[in-house]
Amino acid sequence: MTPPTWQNEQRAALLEDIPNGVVVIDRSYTIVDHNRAFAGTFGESRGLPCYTATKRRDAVCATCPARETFADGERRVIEESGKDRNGRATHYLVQVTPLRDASGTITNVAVVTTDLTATRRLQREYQVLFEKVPCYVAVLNRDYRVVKANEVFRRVFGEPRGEHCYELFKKRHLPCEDCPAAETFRDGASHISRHVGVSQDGKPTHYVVSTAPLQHGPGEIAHVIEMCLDVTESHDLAEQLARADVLREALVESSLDAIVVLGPRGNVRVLNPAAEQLWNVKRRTAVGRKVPRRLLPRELQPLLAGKTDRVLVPETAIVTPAGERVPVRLSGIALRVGEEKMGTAVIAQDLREIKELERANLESERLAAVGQTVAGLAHGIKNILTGLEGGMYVTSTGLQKNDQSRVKRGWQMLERNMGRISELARNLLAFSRGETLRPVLMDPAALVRQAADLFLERAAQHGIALTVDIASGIAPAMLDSEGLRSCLDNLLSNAIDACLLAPDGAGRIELRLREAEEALVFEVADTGCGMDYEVKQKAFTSFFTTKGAGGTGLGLLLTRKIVQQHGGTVTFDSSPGQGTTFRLVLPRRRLPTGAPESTGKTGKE
Amino acid sequence: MASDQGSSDSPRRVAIVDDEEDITTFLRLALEDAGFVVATSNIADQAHALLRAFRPDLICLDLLMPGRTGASLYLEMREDPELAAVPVLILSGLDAREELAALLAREANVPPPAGYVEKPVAAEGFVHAVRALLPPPLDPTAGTMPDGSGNRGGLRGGS
Repeated sequence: MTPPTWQNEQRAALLEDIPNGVVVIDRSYTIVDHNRAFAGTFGESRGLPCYTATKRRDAVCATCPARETFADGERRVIEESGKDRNGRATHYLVQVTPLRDASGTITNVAVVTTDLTATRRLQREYQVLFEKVPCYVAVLNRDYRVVKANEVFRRVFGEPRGEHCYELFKKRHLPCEDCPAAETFRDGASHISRHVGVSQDGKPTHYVVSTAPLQHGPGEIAHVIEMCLDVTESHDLAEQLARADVLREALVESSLDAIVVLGPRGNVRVLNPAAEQLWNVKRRTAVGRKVPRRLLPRELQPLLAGKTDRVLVPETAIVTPAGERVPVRLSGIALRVGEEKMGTAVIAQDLREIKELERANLESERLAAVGQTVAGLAHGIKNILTGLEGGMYVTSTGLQKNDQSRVKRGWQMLERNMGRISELARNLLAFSRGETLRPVLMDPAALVRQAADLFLERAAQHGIALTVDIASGIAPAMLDSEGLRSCLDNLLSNAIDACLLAPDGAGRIELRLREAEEALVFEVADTGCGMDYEVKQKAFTSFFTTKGAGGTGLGLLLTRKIVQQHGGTVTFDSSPGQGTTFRLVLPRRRLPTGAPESTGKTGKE
Repeated sequence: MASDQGSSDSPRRVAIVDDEEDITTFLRLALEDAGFVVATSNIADQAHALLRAFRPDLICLDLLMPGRTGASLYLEMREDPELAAVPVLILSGLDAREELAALLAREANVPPPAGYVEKPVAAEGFVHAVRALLPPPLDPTAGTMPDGSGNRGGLRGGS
């Protein structure tokens, strides 16, 4: 039955207004009628061939669905691509329906088009994203097999051949216990976690893995999309940083030197245990606070004020909050990143222990000298005793023989040796008591000239030439003039004796003073008999003399003692038959300060 | 053997080398009183020449002297064919035996000295040691002193 007219009108209005394009074409592919939507896309096209209107073609499309429907009367649905009236590419779903007349012959087909262009564009965009995103994207089925993968994935693993994702990423044979895809399959939600896999060349690879469900309908999830971002590089960097941090931390914490780091405004950032000990403060109280100026050596100020970037002070002092002064060796450096100053680092070495060691060393050297003195004492005393023995024998036999000259001789021997014992006792006492030094600021050159003046004549008497060589510009120093004079006198006296013992007799002595590496150097060089190996070994230990019967041999020991009290050392070079040079080296920084210094039993600095 | 063995009544010759004059005086007088002919030297460098000229039957040597030690003089004497056979008596106040032993250990083929006397030395003991080290005289009745005093042992020195 024919529908009522008003229904026809409604249908017409419907067709006209639906968003899908509707077009009717006849057997010659001419457009008979179309709706507004169609016109919107392709323009007014009644009377035009459909292939011209929709595709700008001149001939029927090879795959024309209308032709097939005209032929078999079947409905069909296909996707088509064409160009809209502005020449832009369009994609649409085409539904072709035959229209029959009363006799059942197909006169026309109705083509309903659904615009897929927007959808297509979105699809393409997603496809690009899927393919090109710089992480592995794989679609997994419920068996964890990769059914689809993006370009990045394919580049590394090749075309997906249905391998398990855990085989590819981790070279495992079993699913992972903490698999995020499993959770997504279970609860349908996205999951993200970190995993460690194995790269193609066997190196550990760190991934951030994110999974999302691909739901195509109700029921259980058939596929999960899994994205794996390779974060190995940043992971390794983070590890390196952590390790470097551990190293830095260990170095700073365990350093025996105090390390303090101040921020750009002078607040304490880092205070290591050694610094806590040096300043006698706790990290807790100090960190974050500004350091009071008085606690830091003034040499540091230019660095803190930004006037310099580096400060190195071999010896200065810091002050603790309690007011105690501590000698330190100090190094400071500005911490910069580019031009910006981030702070200051100060490294300080507590010198108290070193100074104590130095003092103890000097003290033990002195004690060793005393010890050696005792050993050498025996020899000297034996000689004197033999002399006394001799005196007694000679006197006694002289009396027996009634030989007056012999008696006289013997008595002289007794007197002489008694004198030697007295002198020995006196010198020994003086030596072991440890005389107090009385240093004054004086000109070392004057000392040398005085000594030379005294010995010049005595040397000349024996036909020995004495010359003096004093370097210019030697600054004054704190010296005990009496003590050092006696040292020079002793060395000069020994030099003269050595020359007298030399086979050829015409000796030369040179007295020198120079400055080397911030130390005063006195030298007495002679061309006398020299010392061979055995004698060198004994030079400071024995009491043998260079004077035959005179002297006690304490001279060198006393000289060494006085030099040590000045913080210096005595050394000598000697070749038998050629001569000897004695050298006194007094480093300026170890010279006594103003206060009289006693190195006696009290031993206090 | 010493070239100058001499006849029974020629006195034995002893050389003393020590840097201390008091000591050489003392020891010389003690030996002369006992009938020896003595030469002394206080300077080690000159000692060798003196020894060769004097041709002693015994040499007394102090080990520790300035300039040259007695040890190096000792070595020199052992190397001199004219002096090598002469017995040496070492005088010293300082662990002489050890020092010399160390030296001898370093120098192979050097014979040790004939004897040691530690200072301080008394006259009697010294003369006794000298006699003991000298090769025995050919004539057992030797010992007659040129002054006829028959005084052989020397006088007591101090203890």
